[in-house]
Amino acid sequence: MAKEAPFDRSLASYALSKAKGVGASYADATLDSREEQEYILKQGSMDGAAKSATTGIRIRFIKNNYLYSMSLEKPTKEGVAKLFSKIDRFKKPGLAKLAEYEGKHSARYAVKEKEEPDSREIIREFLQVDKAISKAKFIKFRYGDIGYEQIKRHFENSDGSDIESTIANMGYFYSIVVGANGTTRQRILQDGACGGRELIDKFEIDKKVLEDAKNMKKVLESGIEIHDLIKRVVISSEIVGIGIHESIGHPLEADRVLGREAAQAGTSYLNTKNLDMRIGSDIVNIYDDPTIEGSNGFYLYDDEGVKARRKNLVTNGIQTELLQNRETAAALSTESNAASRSSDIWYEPLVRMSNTILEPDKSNTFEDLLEEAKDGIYIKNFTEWNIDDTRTFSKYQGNEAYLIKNGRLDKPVKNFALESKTLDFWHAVKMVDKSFNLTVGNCGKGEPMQGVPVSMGGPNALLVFR
Amino acid sequence: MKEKIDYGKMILDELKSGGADHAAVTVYEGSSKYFKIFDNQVDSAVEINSSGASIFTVKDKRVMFTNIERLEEQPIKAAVADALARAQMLSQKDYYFGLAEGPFKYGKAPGNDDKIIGRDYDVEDLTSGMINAALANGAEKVHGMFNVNYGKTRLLTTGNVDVQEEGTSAKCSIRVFTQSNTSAQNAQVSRKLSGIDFEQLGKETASLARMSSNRGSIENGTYDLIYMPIAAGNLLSIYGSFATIGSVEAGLSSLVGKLGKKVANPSISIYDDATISDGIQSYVFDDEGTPSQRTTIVKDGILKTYLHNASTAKKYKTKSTGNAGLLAPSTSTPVFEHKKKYPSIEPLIRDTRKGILITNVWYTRFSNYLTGAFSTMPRDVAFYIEDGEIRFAINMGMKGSASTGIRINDDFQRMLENTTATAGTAVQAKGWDASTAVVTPSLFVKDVKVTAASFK
Repeated sequence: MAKEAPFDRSLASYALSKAKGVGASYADATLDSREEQEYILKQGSMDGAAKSATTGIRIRFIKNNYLYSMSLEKPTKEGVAKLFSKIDRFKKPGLAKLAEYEGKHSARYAVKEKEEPDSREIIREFLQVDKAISKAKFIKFRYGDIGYEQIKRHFENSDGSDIESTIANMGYFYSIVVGANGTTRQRILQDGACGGRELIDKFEIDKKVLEDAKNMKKVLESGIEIHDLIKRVVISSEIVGIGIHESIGHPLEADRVLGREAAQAGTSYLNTKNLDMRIGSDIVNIYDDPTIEGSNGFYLYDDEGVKARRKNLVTNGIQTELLQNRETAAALSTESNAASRSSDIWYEPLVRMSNTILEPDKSNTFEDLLEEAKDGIYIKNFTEWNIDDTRTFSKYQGNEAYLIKNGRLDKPVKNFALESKTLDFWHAVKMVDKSFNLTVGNCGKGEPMQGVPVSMGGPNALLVFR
Repeated sequence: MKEKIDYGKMILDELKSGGADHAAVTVYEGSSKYFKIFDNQVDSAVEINSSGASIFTVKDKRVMFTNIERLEEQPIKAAVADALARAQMLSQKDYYFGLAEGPFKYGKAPGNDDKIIGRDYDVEDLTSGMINAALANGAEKVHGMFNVNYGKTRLLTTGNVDVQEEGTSAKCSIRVFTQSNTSAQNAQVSRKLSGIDFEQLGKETASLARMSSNRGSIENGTYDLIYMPIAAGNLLSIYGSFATIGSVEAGLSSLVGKLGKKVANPSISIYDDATISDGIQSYVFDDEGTPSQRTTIVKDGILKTYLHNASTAKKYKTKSTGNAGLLAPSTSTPVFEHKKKYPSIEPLIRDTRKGILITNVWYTRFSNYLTGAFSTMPRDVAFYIEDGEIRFAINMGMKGSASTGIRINDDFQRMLENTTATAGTAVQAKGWDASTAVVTPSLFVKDVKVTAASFK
């Protein structure tokens, strides 16, 4: 059960009054309290556990067109006053401006765990999971980590918004190394969602780890290498997900488009002159939606108090919307669509993804994709991946992959890398099926680097390259 | 009234009386400031202030970390009781062998900067020197980050350690874009503001972006690569983490099973050095109080040791390398040395028949940590070299973009065996997505597979 938040709500309004006192044209304050637990298993032995509880405040304000963000652990009135007594002052005006936002929200929402995160139970179940995995002797190395956190937040801003949220989240990470025929393959599995202990069963950790491990062993034992030019590739939801995240979601973050992340997380193939360009084929529809209940990227109001909604990033192959916060929206003369997020209050909120998804097509099955491909390769999951600074070309190294022969899955294939240009990749999407699977990630951006929980995916897809 | 940092003894006493077999308490306070540079000026200021205590406690080989935010008697008693109760819920860490046993003699503390501690600096004055120097040398847009940090810690352990340390650091990164669609990035780091030459940083980064006005394409194939320090540092920071015993035990290292074996060219030695006087990752003592040291990881191409804390060292019948991490050891500053040194990159370029000058990389990812097979992306301008001369900046990305359009594919064993020379002075290099700064000159690596985007 959620406990009462251990912060003094009056500190938020006090911080806003202090910001007004120094001449701020806008201010917001976020009180944040979080409890986290983490348990680590290495080769079956409990390496250690961690539990932390922190409370802090972040105060953001705009003065002389500079955007200030100040955070303080264990906040008190005296501490907040001290922060304002020594703010950095700049001689010439800055660039920051926030888009007007009509919504003035007073909201309370919570996604709590169904079952309390009882430490003994988490440990017992995680050890059981690991024991089941340990029976597969061909798994040479295994390293697992499971964690739970509950975050309570209270947000106020000078526009009059007043929002409070409680979100519980559970997630795991497993790294395995499979050995056979004197060689090895590696796989990292992870999942996460809003909720509590009840999710451990839903994650089906041992089942997924063992299934992937067995398939990797088959790839090691009987996988063939393909050196021919492959023009028909069926990609799983996992590959669709990483492709969307890296080559659609990131470059459609408006701060990258404007250049504000150029020295950190990079730039974009989009700029203010080529917006609304065609990115993919007519059947490519991609959206980002933080309001999916229980999802890893869930929220109902962003870090600037803007009400969350679905963003249609690509519609029928055309780029239609960017991810925006209030600062980028002002620069682009539009409205924020509630993409402002931070991993916690130590960091400045940035334009971020949440759950980024390719729309499925109910009329197709996975078998239809294989049949249409006829001869090609199916990539089920990946290991190594990367993309350039402008997000124009990427590589997804297949971990588990299969030959497609006469519309059916055939021999396993090893070391097949899908290396392509972003526009070629999305123009090649010929069919998608009706399945819907999301994989999770912790997406890094900014300086200092901050990771926010996201998910990505959708259906399987057939790519036909020219 | 007690200083926050003085609560450490109260916490340790509480842990001892509660029955902890081993305990380490770190009381800390610190602040960091980040000034973002966007479109040729400072755009925002982010300030982070933190304080509290972290507790590491072991009872019957059950290992627990927790924290205390409110350093007052009652919260301390409650947090200690909670930590010990939680430890009892865990299963045993079979291979836990205790904390470092002091007391120790410590070396001289690395220098700190009173200007950072006293906030006695003008952000606009410092950064405008860099921005204006970049603009004067052909940059059109200048972005970056100026960051200063201050921290103070006191460590007390059941191993007779009670020691304090203060530290300061500064970092300034810059990324420039030119009108002709090239970009370059660099950074300088130091424990003191005076260790950063802002104007030089701006001038050299802009000049690098404009080293060739020609543009061109290359074929897939093998090339000799010159990695400039920021690019080399990105790769070597990962190599440093591969040397930690925790990565080795988890199968997340290419150095598994290679102790005493050849892992690099015989001219190469790699160290982990926590004693560098201006090292931003230098420290007097590690997380359990072992004095900092310079550890030889690779000597003349042979892997000599992994990085240990006291417990892992006992497990493997060796000595701590002063790299605690209590749960798992961590690197301080990797240092790369090579016997063959060119004074600068210019004569190295003259000796290169078919190669590429790589100024920066990012997104280094592994298909298999055990083999060390990776690919990485040249992030900024890369120059094609033929017969000793830079011929053109590689520009195979989307039309109008600064992207090189190429990818580097290698593995650590092959890369280090084929690193046949270095060039220029070693510097503390720290790119955006590198986990640590690394002291390295430019590296010359022979016969590296480079691919360009294709639809295969």
